[in-house]
Order: sequence, then C-alpha cells, then structure tokens
Amino acid sequence: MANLADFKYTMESCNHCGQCKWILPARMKGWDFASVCPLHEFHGFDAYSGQGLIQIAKERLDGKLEYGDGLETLLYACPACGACDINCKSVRDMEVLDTIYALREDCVEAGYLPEPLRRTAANVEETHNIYGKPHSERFAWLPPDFRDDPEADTALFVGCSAYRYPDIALAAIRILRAGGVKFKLLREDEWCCGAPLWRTGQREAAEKLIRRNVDTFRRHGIHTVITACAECFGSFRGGYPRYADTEGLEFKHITQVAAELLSGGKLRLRKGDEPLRVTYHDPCMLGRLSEKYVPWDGEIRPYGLHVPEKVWRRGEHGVYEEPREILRALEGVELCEMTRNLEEALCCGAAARDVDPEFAVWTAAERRREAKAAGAQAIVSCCPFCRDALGSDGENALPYLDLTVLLAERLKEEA
Amino acid sequence: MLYPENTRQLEAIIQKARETKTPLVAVSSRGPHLHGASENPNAETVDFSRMNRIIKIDRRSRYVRVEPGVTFDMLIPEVRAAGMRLNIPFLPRAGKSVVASALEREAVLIPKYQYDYTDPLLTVEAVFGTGDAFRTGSAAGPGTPEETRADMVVPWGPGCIDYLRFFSGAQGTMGFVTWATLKTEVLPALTKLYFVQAESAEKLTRLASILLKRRIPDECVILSRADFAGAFAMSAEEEEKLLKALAPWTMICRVSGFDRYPEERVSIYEGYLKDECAQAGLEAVTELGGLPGLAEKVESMIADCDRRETYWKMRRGGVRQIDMLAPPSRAPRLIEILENLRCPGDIGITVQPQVQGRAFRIECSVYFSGAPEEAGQVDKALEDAARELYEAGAYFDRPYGSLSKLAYAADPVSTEAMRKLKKIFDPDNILNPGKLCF
Amino acid sequence: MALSAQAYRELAAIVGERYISSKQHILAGNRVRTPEIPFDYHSADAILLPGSTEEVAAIVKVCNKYGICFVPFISGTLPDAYANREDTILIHLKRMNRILEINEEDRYAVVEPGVRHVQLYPEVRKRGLSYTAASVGPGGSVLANFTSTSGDHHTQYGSSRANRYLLAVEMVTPEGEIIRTGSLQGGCGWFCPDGPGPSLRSIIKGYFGSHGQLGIITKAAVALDACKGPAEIRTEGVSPHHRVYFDSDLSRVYVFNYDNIQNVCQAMLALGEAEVCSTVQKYFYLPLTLLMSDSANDFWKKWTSGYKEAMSMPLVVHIAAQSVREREYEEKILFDVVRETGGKRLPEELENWWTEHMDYFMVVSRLQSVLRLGGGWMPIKLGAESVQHICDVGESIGEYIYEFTETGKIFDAPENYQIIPMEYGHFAHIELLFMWDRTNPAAMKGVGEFRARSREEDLRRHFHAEDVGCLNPTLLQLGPLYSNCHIWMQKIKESFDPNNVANPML
Repeated sequence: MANLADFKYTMESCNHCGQCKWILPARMKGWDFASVCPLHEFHGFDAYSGQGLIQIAKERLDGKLEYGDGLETLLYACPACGACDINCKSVRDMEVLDTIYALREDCVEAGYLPEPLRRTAANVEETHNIYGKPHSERFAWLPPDFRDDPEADTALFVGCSAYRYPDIALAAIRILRAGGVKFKLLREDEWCCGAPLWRTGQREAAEKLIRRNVDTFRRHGIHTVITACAECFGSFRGGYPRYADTEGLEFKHITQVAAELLSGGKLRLRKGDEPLRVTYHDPCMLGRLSEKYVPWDGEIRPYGLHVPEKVWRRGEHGVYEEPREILRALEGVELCEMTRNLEEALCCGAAARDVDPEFAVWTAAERRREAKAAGAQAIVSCCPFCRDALGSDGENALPYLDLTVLLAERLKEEA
Repeated sequence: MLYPENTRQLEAIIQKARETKTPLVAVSSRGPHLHGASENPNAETVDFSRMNRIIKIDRRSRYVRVEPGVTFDMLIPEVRAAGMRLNIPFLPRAGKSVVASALEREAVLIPKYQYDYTDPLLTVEAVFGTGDAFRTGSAAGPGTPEETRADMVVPWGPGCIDYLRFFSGAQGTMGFVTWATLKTEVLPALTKLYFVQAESAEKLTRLASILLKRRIPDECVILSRADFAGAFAMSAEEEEKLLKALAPWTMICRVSGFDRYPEERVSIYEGYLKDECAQAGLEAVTELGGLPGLAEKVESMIADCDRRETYWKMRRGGVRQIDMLAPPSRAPRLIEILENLRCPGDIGITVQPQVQGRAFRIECSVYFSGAPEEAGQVDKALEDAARELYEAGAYFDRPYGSLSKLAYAADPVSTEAMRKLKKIFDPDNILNPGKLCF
Repeated sequence: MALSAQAYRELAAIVGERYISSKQHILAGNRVRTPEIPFDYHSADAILLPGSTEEVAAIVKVCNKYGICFVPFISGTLPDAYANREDTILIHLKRMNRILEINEEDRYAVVEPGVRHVQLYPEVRKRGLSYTAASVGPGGSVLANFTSTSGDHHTQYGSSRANRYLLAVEMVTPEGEIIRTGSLQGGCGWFCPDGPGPSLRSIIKGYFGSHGQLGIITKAAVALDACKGPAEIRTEGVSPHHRVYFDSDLSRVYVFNYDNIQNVCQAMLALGEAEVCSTVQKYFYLPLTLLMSDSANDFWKKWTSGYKEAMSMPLVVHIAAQSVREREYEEKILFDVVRETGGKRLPEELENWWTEHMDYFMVVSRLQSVLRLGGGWMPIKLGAESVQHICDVGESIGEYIYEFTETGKIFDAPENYQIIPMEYGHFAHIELLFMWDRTNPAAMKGVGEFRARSREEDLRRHFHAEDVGCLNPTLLQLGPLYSNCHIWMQKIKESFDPNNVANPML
C-alpha cells in the first residue's frame, strides 16, 4: 500500500468542483435523492466529503494538521463507499478513495485509530473474525452431514457474517449444489477476509492477513473463490492485489455464478407465494468498488500523462446486472429502481456505525426512504452489512431481503 | 427651459443646478405628456429636443443608437430603410421620444424578442445628478465611445452593478440620458396577420401565454373593443361601426417569414397558431368585419407610430391612464376589475404580453371630454381602483403620481435602500425631486 | 486575531452548536489552495451553516458588531468563496436548499441558495420547462449562478445569459437588513425583477455578481422557458460512459469545422437572423477533446491523432424543433448557411458523440473533465459584445498567443476559445481558456504573463473583451477606463457596507 505522499498529485489537483458530492447529471431525477455523499449530506461541512478529506490529507502531508481534536472521528465516519471516487473519476484522473485509505494509514501510524476499530482488529487477530467469537464456531451452522468436494478447485468463502447470518451461507450452498458447481469449504483455514483491516488503514496487519489468506487459497489448490458477501468480494478484487500476488486466482460473487447458472438453464425456479415489488440496493463493494485493483507505480508527467498507462477503477464494470437478472427471473417479483442506483447507489452507512452511529442510522433511514419513494415493498441486496443497516428497525422501516436467500428459497429442487 | 445640444452642456447644466440647488426635470418627447412625469413645481425643464441625432443604425449587429430627442416618427422609417424594425409599443405617439419610451419600460409589441423588462434598451450614456457622465454595460469602456471598437450593445454591468437599471423606470430621478442603444430586428420578408376574438380577456391571455411560450407570434397584443375601435378608426363614425361589429376582446398577432424560405416559416407557424387556437376553442382569422379593408389598415398601422394629428388616445379630448404588470395567473382578475370601473367616459383596455409571455402589461385608459370636473371624477375612480387592483396583485412597477405611495408601501426597508442609491447619484436631490420614493 | 470567544458564542447561539465549527480539520475543507490559484488562501476563523434568512441576518449583525468579515458561499468552486484575509468567517448556505415554488403558469421557480442544478433542472423539465443552467457541473448553485457569478451556458444562443432570467430576490444587506427587489418589494410576488421605478435589481448583479460584497442573497426567482425535448431524460450505461439520448426526429446535432473565425461569425449572424436552431456555439477544441476522453492518456492519444485538426474550429449546432416539419425547415437553412460560409461537417463518429451526450445541452455531465490535465486552468476575457466584435477579439488572439504556446509557458492550443451567441446573435460571449502544467512551480509566472498580455492586447486594440469584475484589484485597474465605474462601485459599497465586512477584496 502506498504512502500519503504518493497521493500528492490528487491532493493538489482538486478544484473543488463538487462532483464528489452530487449525482452525475446524466442520472439526475429531481430535487430529492440528488446527493451521493451521505457524509456531506448529514454533517454539512465540506470537510465531510471526498474533497474535504483529500484537502485534509494535504494539510497532514504538509504538517499543518494534527489528530486528537475530532479529525480521526471524521476520517472514520466516512464509510469509504467510493461514491466520491467514482464521480470524481468520471471527469478527473484522481484517486480520492485511495487518498482516504492512505490518510487512514497515516492516522493509524499516528496512533489515533478509534477504539471500536481497534477492538475489531484485535478480534480479527485473536479469533480470525470481526465479532470476537470462537474461531471454532465459524462453521457451527453447517449441517453435520454436509459434504463438500475436497478435490474442487473452487472454494465457497462464507465470511465472518456467517456467524450472524448463516442463512446466507446455507443459501449459497444450496444454489451451488442445485447448479452442479463443485466446491469446497476452507473450514478452520478460513479466516476473516481482512476488509476491516486494510479499509481502515491498518496496513501491517492487513498485509499479514491477506498474504496468509492468499497462501491458504493456493495451498488448497484453489483457483476460484466464490463468496456471498459483498464486502469480502470487494476486498478480494479491490484490496488483495494491493498486498499480495493474486495471479491465477479468480474471485466471484454468488450472484455472478447464479446469473450464469440461470442463463444456462441449470437452475429451476418456482413461483413465489405473493407478488412483490422490490428495489435492489447496490452494495458499494459489489458495485462500484468491485473492479480489480491493478497496481500502478509510474510517473505522472506534465498535463496528467501517466507513464506507463494506468488502469483506472471507475466503477463501470462492477457487478450491477447479475443481481438484477436474478430478480427479473423470479416470477412475481417486480423490480423498481431507486434514483441513486448502479454506480451512483447511496451507501447504506454500515461502515460508519462504530464511529458515528447517529450518522449511520440516518444514512440507513435515508436509503430506506429512497426505496419507499421508488415504490418498493421490500429492499433487496446481497451484503450482510447492508442487511445490518437497512434491515434494522428505525425510521422508514422496510423489509430487507437478502438476494442469495431469496433465490435459494425459490429453487424448485434439492440437490 | 434649457436646451442642451450635447453631453458636455448637460454636465454643465447639472453642475450649475447643484450649485444653485435648482431642481431639474427632463423632457424629450413632443406632447401630449400623458403621465405627468415632467410636472414638477419649481423645476427647470431640460428639453432634449435639440439632441435629436440618429447616431448609428447598424444592420449587421442589429441595433440603433439615438439621442433622446429622436422620436418614433423620425426613427421608424430610417430603421425600415436599413431593412430592420424596432420593437415598438402599440401605436405610440409620433412625437414620443424613442429613448424615453424605452426608459419608461413601455410595453413592446413583439414580446418574443423581449428577454427581460428593460429589453430592447441595451446601453445608455447618461449624466448623473452629480454632473458626471457615465456609460452603461459594454459602452462603459474601455475608453471613450470614439476610442472603443465595441458596438456597445451589451446591457449588463460594468462590473457587478447593472447601472442601466438606475435609469430604467426612474423618471429622470437618477440621471439624464444623452443617448441610448436599442436592439432592432430584421424586417420580415413575409408576414401574415391574424385576429382572434373572444368574449373574455382571460381566454386570450391564456392563449397569448401559450403562444409566446412556444415563440409563435411576432406582434401580439390584446385589445378591448373600445381600444381596438379607437386605435384603428379614422373617425367617430368608423369607431361606432367597429364598436358594433367587434367582439369584446380581440387579439392581433402576426407570424413572420424571413429572407430564407419565408413562406415555409409562415406556413409552419400559422399552423401552430391555428392548432393552439383550436385547442383553446378559438379561431384565428385573417379578416374582421366592421370596416372594409380593416385587416390591411391594421397591417399597415401595426408596425408604425400613430401619425394622426390627434393622438388616438386624445380623440375625446382627455385621457387618464393606469397601467400595471401582472403575471398570467393574475391578469384576468385585474382586467375584470378594470372592466367594472365606474366613471365618466369610455374605458379602453390594452393587454400587452411581455417578456416572452411571462407577464402582461395591462393599460387602462379612460377617455373623457377633458373637462376639469370630469377629470377629477376619473382621477378619483382610478385612485380607488388602484387600491383594489393592488390587493388583487397588480404590480405598479412604474408608478406615476399617487401610485407611488402604493408601490413603495409594502417594503419600507427596501425603499430606504433605494434612497441610499439616490443619495449617491443625486446627492443634492435636484433631479425631479419628489417623484417615486424620493 | 482569531474569533473572540464572545463572538463565537453569539454566532453559535444563532445557528446551534452543530452548525458552527472552528476546528482546524473542518476549516481545512475550505482553505487548501486549488491548483489554478498562485497563492494560499487564508483560513477562515469559523464556518457556519445557517438554515434561514433570519439566521443569516443575525449572523451578519454579529459580524458588524465585532468587525468580522464574512464570505458567503455554496459550492465553493470559485476563488471568491474563500477567506482572503484574517478575521473572516465563511457562511456556507447549503442548508438553505428548498425549492420554494415552481409556478408553471407564470413560468418561474423560486429557490434558496443551496438548490443545485441537478436538483432544479429535472424538476422543471418534468413540467415541460427549462432554464439555461450555467455550465459549472452538477453541484453548481442555481441561485449563485443567476445572482453572483457569470452564468453562461452552451445553449444561450436561442435564449440568453442568466442575467435576463433573474427575477425578484430577497437579500440580506451587509448591515443585516432584509431587502427585496422588483415585484417582491412591491408586495406582488416574484415575477418581475424591476421597479418600482428604478430597480434595486441594479445592485444584485451587473455583468457578474458581487460574490456577497453587497449582501447575501437568500432567495431568488428565476424565469423558465419552454422545454424543447423530452420531459424525462433517457440515460443508458454506467459512468463514465453514460449515454443520454433525445428523440432524433425533433432534436439533432450537427457539427461543422471551420478554418476562419470570420466565416463562423457570418454563419452565426445568418442563423440568428433566420431565428433557427436552439444552440449555435463555436466551441473550443481542447475541452471538446477532453469531454470525449476517458483519461489524460486517452486525451493525448486523441489530441495527437487528428482530433485537434478535425475540430480546430468547431461550430456546434443543435436543432430542437416542435415538429418534424420545423426541424426539416431549420435544417435546410442551416445547410444553406454552412455551405455559404465554408463549414465542413465533422465525420459521423465524432458528431455522434453529441448525439449520445445530449446532457451537453442541459446540465453538462462531464464538464469538469476540462480540468483533467491536472487542474491548472484559467478562463479569461469572458466579456460579451456584438457577435462581430467578439469574433474580432477571437481572431486577434492568434497575434500574441503563439509566443506562449510555442515556448511551453501554456498548453499548446492557440485556438482554444469559445464564442457563444445570445438572443439569436444580438451579442456573444467569449471565453479564452488556457491550461498550464501546474506541477511545474515556475509555470505560474507564465500564466500571469499571458493573462496580463491578453488584457494589454485587448486594451491596445480598444476591444471590449473583458468586464471589470467585482470590487477587487481588477476593478481598480480597469475602472478608470470603464467610465470610472470603480468610483461608483466603491461609493455603493461604502453606503451599503460601512463597516466593510461583506467579503472585502481590497
């Protein structure tokens, strides 16, 4: 991972144009739901935005700003959803999100990682999951008669959220079985994907864990890793190449696999009991932040020429269509779209809850309000953390359905 | 009376007036003066009739520059000879100063060309009440008008102040204008005149708003029966005939074709006009009954000033007027109030769509004998009506006489801000004192 | 001298603790130098987010009481949105973000300062209406564009500059009083900016706005035109490759390249006299190539492979007709004019870019890509005059710019100016946009030299290419040449802001 100084070009390029805060005009629909940065919308000051954070980073680099007076709270209240990054990149060659990551590393080095995140990191270190639960219970939800295929070169990575939502993992297994996909589980060798480490600037710990995980995959002869967790997926694709050589490893989300199985006629579905109007919430780490990270170590010449040419992650190739294809395949399910969808999706706010719970709760309520305004009876997504946020009680309460679970429930057979 | 012939002389007049604390009032039109702006006891009159040069007519960039003494009867034919037309009021007095008309924000006949309420006025040179000359917009500089290569046509600024708006509607209270640049438009190669009649003004104001939103007509004006008859009749007998033949309200509008494929443009736009009329349950016709050759007469008069010896509004001897601005939603109610006015004389109402259909200037004229007794009754009736009109949403944006009280009553803080500006540009309060809120 | 504790307390009592901050990391969001500026901004002492006109007025009164300067801002894109001296607070108006009214019959919308183009534009469009959204990108404040900045837009050929469409406003004066203009002052609603009599509208905006130097505008009404085009915008694809389409029977784009600005001038005037087309614009080839590019690298490939030559002097035309017959009629005239003036139509693959990006004629999605070459950019001239005069100004640029482009002081794009006619060719606006390598600290010297030279050349030729701006050093330099307007501006300033607290720039 790079240092703060490596993003000086980005910090000094910002013209304060506001693209990071507002929906792109090609997608504008009206007064409501026009802001893409929940942090800025909630807190109001420009410091609370992609633009604000990269300018804070500049002052840190220049030695003009210290932690300790709330800066660290601001820094980690940002859910690092990438909306600012994608919107900025639609017009500029800047790395807003990576600058925020680098600023977080700077904060960690300075010793100001907020306590709740410190605890999570300790959990990951000690018990290999974010909850601090016994590692031995990671697969406790698995039926005793479950058999996977030990020779398979595909692994199903269930993720830490299986502790809380084993139904998602079980649903993923059902889908893969129904589709005839051979896979195995890593069981005690499966540790946390590392998202809560590398996304919060804990570079050393992240590097150690990620390299360990990559070695584990290779040791098990894995070429393809499937996960039903958006956060894990986004980490594998957008985080892992920063720390380890992932050459030869392919990472897929369960929705990509399921969509492929559906279009190949390998999954048979039954009709649902009641018609349902749903909207689909694009998780940040499955959508705009899921493109593969390609390391670049070059020179920025005058007038922005990057040598060698850089592969930019602009969110264009995120996993947007496959979840929608699945929903469209479910008879009786009607899909309506929110204004802020696809690469412009509003973050659910989950990543902020440890540091700024009031903001996180507001963001989730705001997203549910948008879902209701779209006419949805339920909100569907495929990220357990979005489930935490959007499925909670609170303002604008709306039923939350996990897409993996929803699809599994509609399967006609049992493998 | 003082008759300046150039800007330097005017500067000297004003400086002298400052020294002697002599109020000054500006006159640039030949009579009759209908609004009384120029009546001010103890004031010296500065008559601009000798500043009557047509400084420039520019066909390429479509503008004219004239001194205040230039009147409509002088300018219209000159502009026409250059292949252009002015955006003029409806049948203005021949002797009306073109500059004064524009400064007074008189309603213009082709609202599709009017982008805001100061349009077609572009730039002016004026002398403030301090005695300093100033040029507005892009006429400000760089350098003098003789030095600059600019055409001096952009109205805004210089800088962050719209100086033009100190003079617009000001009744000469902030400065006296020594020349003005006005927009002109290309003379159409082909025109077609239409009449749309209706029982109520509301049907026509709604139609006009829609037509102008789509930029269909060029000239567009709505006249009550009395004003239509009064404007186009050449005698009392003709007027009587027209009054009998006309519907209560008539809209006159024209579609145009320009040099390139004019017939095609006329055909397309008259198609739009007819469609909208049909949707409104109305009909656009090219002929009107009442008088032989009426359509031709209207066609020839509509783009000109009133060249009759007696200005049509003075045909009875006396006239009193009240005018106001209203947005489309409020115009019908105001017209209704005016239709129900009770006073001696005949009431004529002209409703002029403005600013591309986003407002109407409603002008009510009471035509009476001119006898002082009647004048008093008419004045009283209009004063009473003004209050009712104001409460129904009439905006007296250029208040003459006692209307000023109403116009400035709503917001004393803003009125005081206006007085601050007056103090800057006329610190000795010599320019038409006592008018408006000054 | 930092804000006194007492002053801070009084300000906090107005907006609430949540909406004021003097923490350094909060202030850092509004003081870091932006790449086009050669100096560091001052830091404000505090930033406030008021929620109403009354709060704004109360804040201003406290500022007068303690001699604190204030700078109002919304998106913060322009250098005038920063503190330029000590003892300054920033008043961030983003919380005041209501659309108060959209009146379809009377065709106006009333907005607070925090309403952005991406918010208002689609709302009015749904109602079959439109306005010229200034080309500043999605976060641009509607109110600020109409009242405080320039407000030029690509489509103003068939309409006009924002100045024409600004109606009544409500403003807090530098002394904290609330004034209203036009029909609002007269108690008659929002529809008219002028009167009664002479207008207070005069001090709201001239050629430019005053950036808060004469007060803080808290509500504004803007006039709306009919919308020619679909009410709902059809967008396909994902960023950065959105495609926005209109119905091609009624709406088409044509782009012609020219080799001579006087021929472009002739074309603009001829089209204007015929009153055809909705947009006619001589665009600039550097931003155009950037708009079409995905990255700086992509730009360089395109720029050096023929785009520069193919679009060296592009005339962009949009026909937005009410019927197919009208579109055909306008097309006929357009082709006649282009043939007469020597324009050559761009290859289809280039022209198609507009067909797929019709947001170019609305709120321009990718406008900030003009900053993609690092952010060192400067628009100059920015004046308006007759079309002929402005084209003469454009033509003269070639007489001095090569000295700077050929020595590398500024980016090598000597024809990089745009001319946008207004009101069917009654006048036109010019913008000369140049870029420099902002990673080279020595480059700012060349930037300053070029800017000064451009102005000198215009003055030497007696061109009106530039306006004097607001009450800043440019005004003092140019004012004596522009009817001594600097004297009047300062008198107005002193009268309305006796304590000199409203964004003083001198």
